[in-house]
Amino acid sequence: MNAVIQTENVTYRYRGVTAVRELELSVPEGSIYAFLGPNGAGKTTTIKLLMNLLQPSEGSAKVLGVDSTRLGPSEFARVGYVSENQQMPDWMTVEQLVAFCQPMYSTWDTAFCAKMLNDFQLPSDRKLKNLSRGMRMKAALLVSLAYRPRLLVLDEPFTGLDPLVRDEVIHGILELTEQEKWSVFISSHDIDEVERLADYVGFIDGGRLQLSEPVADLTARMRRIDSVVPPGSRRAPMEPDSWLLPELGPRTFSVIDSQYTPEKSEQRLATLIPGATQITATPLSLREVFVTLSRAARGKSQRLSS
Amino acid sequence: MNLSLHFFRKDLSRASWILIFWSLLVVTEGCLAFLTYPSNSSQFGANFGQPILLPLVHYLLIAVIVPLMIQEDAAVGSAAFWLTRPVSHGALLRAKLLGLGAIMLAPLIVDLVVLFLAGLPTGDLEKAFADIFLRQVSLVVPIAAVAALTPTFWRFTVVLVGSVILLTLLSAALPQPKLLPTGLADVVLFMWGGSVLAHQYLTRRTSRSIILACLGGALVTAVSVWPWALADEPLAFSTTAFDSKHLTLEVKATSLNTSTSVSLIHNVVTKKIDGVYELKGLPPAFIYQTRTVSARLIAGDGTELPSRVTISTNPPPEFDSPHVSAIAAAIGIPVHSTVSRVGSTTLASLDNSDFVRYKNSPVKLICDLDFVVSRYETDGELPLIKGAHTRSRGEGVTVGGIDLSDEGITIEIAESSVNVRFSDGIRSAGQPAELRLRGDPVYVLVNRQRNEASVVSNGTARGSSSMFYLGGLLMKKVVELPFGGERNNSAPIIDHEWLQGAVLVRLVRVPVAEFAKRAEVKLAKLGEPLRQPKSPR
Repeated sequence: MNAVIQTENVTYRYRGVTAVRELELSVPEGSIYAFLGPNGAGKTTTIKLLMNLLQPSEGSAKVLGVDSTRLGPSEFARVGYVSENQQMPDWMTVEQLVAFCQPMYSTWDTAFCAKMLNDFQLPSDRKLKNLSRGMRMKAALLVSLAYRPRLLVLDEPFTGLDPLVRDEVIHGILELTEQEKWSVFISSHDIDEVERLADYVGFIDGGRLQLSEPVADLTARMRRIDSVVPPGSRRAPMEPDSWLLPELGPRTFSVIDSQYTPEKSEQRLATLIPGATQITATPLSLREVFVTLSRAARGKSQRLSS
Repeated sequence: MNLSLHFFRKDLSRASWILIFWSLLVVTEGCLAFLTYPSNSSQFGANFGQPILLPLVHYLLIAVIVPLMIQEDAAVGSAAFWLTRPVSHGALLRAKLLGLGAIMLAPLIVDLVVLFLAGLPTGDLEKAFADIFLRQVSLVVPIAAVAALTPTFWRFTVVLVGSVILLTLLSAALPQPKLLPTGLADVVLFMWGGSVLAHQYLTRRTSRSIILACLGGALVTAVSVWPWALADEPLAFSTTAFDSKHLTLEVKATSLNTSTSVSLIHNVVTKKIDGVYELKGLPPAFIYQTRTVSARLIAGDGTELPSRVTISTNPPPEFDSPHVSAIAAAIGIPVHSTVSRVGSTTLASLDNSDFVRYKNSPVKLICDLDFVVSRYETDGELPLIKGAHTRSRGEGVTVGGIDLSDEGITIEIAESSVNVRFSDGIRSAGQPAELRLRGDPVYVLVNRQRNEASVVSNGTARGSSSMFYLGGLLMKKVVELPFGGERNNSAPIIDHEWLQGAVLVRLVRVPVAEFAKRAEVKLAKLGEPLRQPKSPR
């Protein structure tokens, strides 16, 4: 499958701070890729690098097969970009914004635009500066979708939106991608929202990509394993690398296995913790996966620094 | 280009209200200038504050409109809407240039129409176009460059105000040239601003653009303070034959003075050799002016001291003896004047440290002066009637008032002129040399029936006030000319009877020849008190 976004060893430094380091990312065509991470992890910087708003200090990125530093009008005609950081022409009404954007795109679909305008319930005659945050985001989406882009890049699109609007937006994106087979690259720190959307996921923390894979694979290989252990049990001296955040209580032992294999993972725990019984494996939500990965990454860095 | 026009229309729409207001202001400014600048109009324009207030508002609006248009699609930062839209950097730059062009177009059209109506010769319209265009681009484009390097109006304001203060301080601290090639500073400003603007929009490399801006600022400053002696233009002489061989230059050092100037770092003590210079043997129909000077101070051991030339190149005062003789020759009537003076000037100056080192050494001052000789020519005559009007060389002159008293007569006149660079009719620095040397016109009260004439009392006009319109393209000057009232038997008594047959004659200087003369002054010791002149002429 072709990649609409492909990065190789992308690093970005600014005033002595490395905001993104050695990023290796691949977003397959037609996928919805959720780019997740806590605040300040490097998500927005990565997107700016992809959109040629910033230039990588090292490495290279390709968007729609073109080097990101060479993205020009012909590529941006096929890319929709919505960001909470983007400066909108606030003095325009929604109608003026549509009229302003339309001549830039040969693929502008007037009927589609009118339908979205209606679906989003946007007031045409109201200036953007007088719209609520959610309405502004809808207006931005409107003028980024109406020309049916091949790739939609959304940077924190749900920030500040109330739940109802979020549902509308998510529903809209899902519907469009299903119909049009668009690729979507969406960054968010709100994991619950994108869980419903994404079929690929990447997790960035401290500027470094911690993982990037299909959501189905991730949820399949990440399991919480709980067990009951005899009093006085000790942790195994050589625990597997795939075990994350092991916790030993007076009568219980639990661990997140990042390489879960049915039966084999349970057997391995029984071998390493003698007397362990009632071993059960529970799937994790995306939120639990990323909390685990974040805590594990921080624990590892703390151990290295101490 | 379609996309450029699309963005251009959007920018116009963005700034529509302020542009409408500004356009009305430009038209109002033009109308008021046209109505109030002529010498025979009333001065209500001045009462409205038109010459000062409207241009000030005009410039302030430019400083608001330009950043509004430029920062609408900011070239700095990474948040601008256009950055992720299918518009090329070149197309956006073209759109911005169209916007700037529109801003410049309105004053260009209005000013040209007003100048045309004000009597600018048709042949000078292209010169006027060049002048107004340069004025506009040298104002608008640098402002646009600053706007392109700043993300918000607030930052733009801070940078612009800071730059203006810095340039003002620099211009105060650095020596200013007496002559700057016409329009050069404007061209450099335009090129500088245009380069920064284009570089920033085409590359979005803000750091490099800032470096370019700083280098350009240094270049603009260098151009402004460069001693452009070589740029002085050749004179267009009249056909009057003139032989300069028999003329001699006399230079006398009269005193040694000390002056202290305060700089930003420390006080600078300078020693000045003051003196007088005079061109001897000049026929009475002519006057002389110095055009360029060079003076060298050579110590006894042959060392050339690092001295500065400060001989004045300004024309000598009007109505001293040579001038009066030349005026009399021009009008063919003897002219009475009580004014007789030869101005003292600083011949050379040197730092105190150099002076201390050589103060006991004999020195030689070698002065090379380039002279221009001129004669007076009658330029027009005005009857002594309020409202009398004449036009000459693009200037209108009107008698505004006549006040006769026991002390003599005071005539108020108004002069209005079109001051287009690259064209005739201007006298400011940076303009063709013969026009600068022509100086202000001279007015003489003449009674041909009695064969008598009088120049203004004490040699000077008084109560002069100037009003500038359209940024100086049009100028109106009101001057009070006092005549008579002198306690001298040879002076004509200017009374009601004398005035019956009198007219006000306007004279201008016409350069006829240019030549160089050298003079040497030997001083026994640099540090000893210099010989005083025998008597002032």
